[in-house]
Amino acid sequence: MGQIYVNLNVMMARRGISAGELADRIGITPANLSILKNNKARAIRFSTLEALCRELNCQPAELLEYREDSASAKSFKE
Amino acid sequence: MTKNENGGPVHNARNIRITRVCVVILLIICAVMLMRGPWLTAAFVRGIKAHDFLLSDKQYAFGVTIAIGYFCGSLALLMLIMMFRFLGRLSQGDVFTRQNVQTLHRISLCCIFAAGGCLLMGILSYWMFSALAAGILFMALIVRVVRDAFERAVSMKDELDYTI
Repeated sequence: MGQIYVNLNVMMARRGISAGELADRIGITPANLSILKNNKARAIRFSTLEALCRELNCQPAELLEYREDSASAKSFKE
Repeated sequence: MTKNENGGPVHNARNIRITRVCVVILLIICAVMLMRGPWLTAAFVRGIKAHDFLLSDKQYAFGVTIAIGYFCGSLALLMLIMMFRFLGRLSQGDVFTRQNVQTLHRISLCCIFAAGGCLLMGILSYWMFSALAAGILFMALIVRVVRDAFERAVSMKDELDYTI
């Protein structure tokens, strides 16, 4: 079974924005942003995704990625 | 609607307070009954007509009644203490937690065992205890249904907590 990964770290590094600043800009708590960053979230609201895309100037597809279990295991090994 | 400090309606807090007071009263009654167990059992054995007992030997009937009585009384005491703590957590706003699900599960188990004790009393002693056993068993079923509802609510809360 695969899993959806949120590539927030990558996008944040590209845009040079800190977690605290991003949380402040999109109106969620740093704790919730951390849940999102660490792929612990069960679901993401459209409003949150919309705010993330707006602040990081990207498309949802750039933030979300589907990985098969074996594929994700391989990428971790690499 | 007026809200209390936990965000729930004020009448909810009042209901919990009233229930806690009732639980405390029942706890005191239960403790007194347990302390006065031998006296109560002797009065009960004296008061019941001989033909109501399967156990014709009064001495034996006393022993069986007091043993089952203490068993059921201890379960009632345990259940009331768990109920009191459960209500305390509800009043603090900790409603849909795994601890509450576990407490409800234990309360239902206490009810089932107490119903078993009462049924035994109904068979061996006075038949009216069988009716009491049916009532306690019904209560156990209701508590189990509430427990299942709490369990579902806990998983829904988990889902909601991790929705960003």
